[in-house]
Amino acid sequence: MVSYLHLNRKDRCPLPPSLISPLLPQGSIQLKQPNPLRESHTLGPSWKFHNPSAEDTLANLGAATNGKEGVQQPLLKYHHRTVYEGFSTHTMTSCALPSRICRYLGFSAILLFIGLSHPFMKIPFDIWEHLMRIASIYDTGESFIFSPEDKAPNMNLWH
Amino acid sequence: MLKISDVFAWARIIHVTQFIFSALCLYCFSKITFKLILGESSDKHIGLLALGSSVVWFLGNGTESIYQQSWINWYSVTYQGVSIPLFWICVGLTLNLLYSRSLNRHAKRLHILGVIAIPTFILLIHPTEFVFFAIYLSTILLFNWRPMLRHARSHPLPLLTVTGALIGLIWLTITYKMLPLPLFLIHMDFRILSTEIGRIGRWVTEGGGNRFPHAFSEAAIASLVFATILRIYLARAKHSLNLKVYDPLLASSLLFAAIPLNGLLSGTVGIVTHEEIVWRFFFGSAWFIFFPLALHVASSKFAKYSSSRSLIVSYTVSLLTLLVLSRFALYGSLYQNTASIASLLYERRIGMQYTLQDVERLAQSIKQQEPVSADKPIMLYIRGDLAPIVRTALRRYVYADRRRLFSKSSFYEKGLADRYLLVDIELPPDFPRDAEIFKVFALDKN
Repeated sequence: MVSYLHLNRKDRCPLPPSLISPLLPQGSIQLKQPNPLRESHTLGPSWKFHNPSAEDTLANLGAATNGKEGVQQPLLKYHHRTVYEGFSTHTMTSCALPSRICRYLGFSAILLFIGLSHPFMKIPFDIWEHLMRIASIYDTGESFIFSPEDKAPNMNLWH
Repeated sequence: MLKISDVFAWARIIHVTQFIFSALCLYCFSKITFKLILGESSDKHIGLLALGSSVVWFLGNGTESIYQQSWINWYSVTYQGVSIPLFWICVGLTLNLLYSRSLNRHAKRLHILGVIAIPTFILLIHPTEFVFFAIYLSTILLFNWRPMLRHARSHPLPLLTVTGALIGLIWLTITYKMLPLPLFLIHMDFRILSTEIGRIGRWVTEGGGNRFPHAFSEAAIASLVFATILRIYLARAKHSLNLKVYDPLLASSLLFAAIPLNGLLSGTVGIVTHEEIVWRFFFGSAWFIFFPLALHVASSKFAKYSSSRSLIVSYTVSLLTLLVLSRFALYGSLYQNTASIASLLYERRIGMQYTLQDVERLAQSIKQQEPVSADKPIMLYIRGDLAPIVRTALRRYVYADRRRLFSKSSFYEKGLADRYLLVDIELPPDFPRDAEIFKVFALDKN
């Protein structure tokens, strides 16, 4: 079964590996040369983790090796993830930090826009009817428009 | 000091909350749909597609009544500002419940609860969206009747629960006269019914009741065209899209677009709901998911890899092209919707025609003219455009209607003089007047 649908968050690196590799035990992570085929389709600088223990596991599992023991050829290249049959490697191709910052900035910009926006208040459009209802419910506990005589007509149920 | 700021502050709070709520609901619906249609894509890519479809929904939905405005401008601080986003999230939950294979038992229960609770709430506040949901549900069932029947045989309880809950809801609303039209249909003669359908259909399609083309933006039309072309292409090409989700969504989207444009459909819908809201059925169309989806498929085909970059570039270029075409070559609906969203930042462009100083002058004028004490509640008779301000900001009863001013004599004819004291308010001669509004609405005293 190809398991590339949901890589766990822990598999994704928040920092470039060049920054964090000195912090990790020697040999636990090796940096690989970027794939030029993939490079042409990714957004910015890309790094790739390669976990040797994962390949050992693959070899033990007897996954597709194309005749060379311990060297697995990718069966499918989809987006920026390298997918192997039977195992999803710890592969990360693009630095998550700038993209995360971009995402936060984008959502902040949207929220800022929404926060600064104003409702449509031209008279006598729909919004005013709702404002009048809000005022009447606040003051009297009853829903009416211009006066207690002015209850909602039947059509308003659909309106 | 006038106690004016509170109602406007509420309006602002409701508007901002509804805006965020709508954006979140649309985003969630789109994300669910894209996940179901494109199971193999990454979360980031699906997130981008969902964001793109949410943005195009805000830009592409709108209408015109004197001014062309986007949906969020028209319907914030109204019931529909809540019911339409809720409707979309409900459709998303239904699709996820029926098509997703990754839901565990707990998630399934939550989804079922949502699919029952949300339509109930919608039915109570604004039943039109319940009809939208019923149409979606029927379309999905129609497209999947065989697997549904097979599933219902082996697991009858969930289906019976949902069906029973929906029938119970409709029965309750009819009993408490919340849905007036089914009763209306029962008492109607077939001949009268067909005449009514014809009349409503003609009014909607030929009499401008469907608000075409203002409510049908260029982005929406292009999206539906792309979706249809894409479906024809997918029938021949090798692809990994889940058509079991795509097909019912496309069929319902086309149906919702066809309802306000076809005489028979609009007449039928008009008689079940109300003729004046038939045009709003276009808001039930899921056209906005097809726009980024078509770009995703196209970029996958031509760029070999549908990376986020190619999607962002193709989306931006397509949207800008549509905006330019809308402004200079087409009917301008998309462009004006976008402009109206941009003008949300400038209160004077979209806000009330009168300043707070004008309202203070109005308050002083009313205070001078109304009696200090009266044995009955006072009802004011004032120029119609000012009546909503007098009611909301100054909290006085007004003898008026939102789009026309009643005659003074009708107050006495209705026998209201027994319960209220009518006070005719004369405005200062130099009080401002928005001539544009008076061209359309009969708001002068008569």
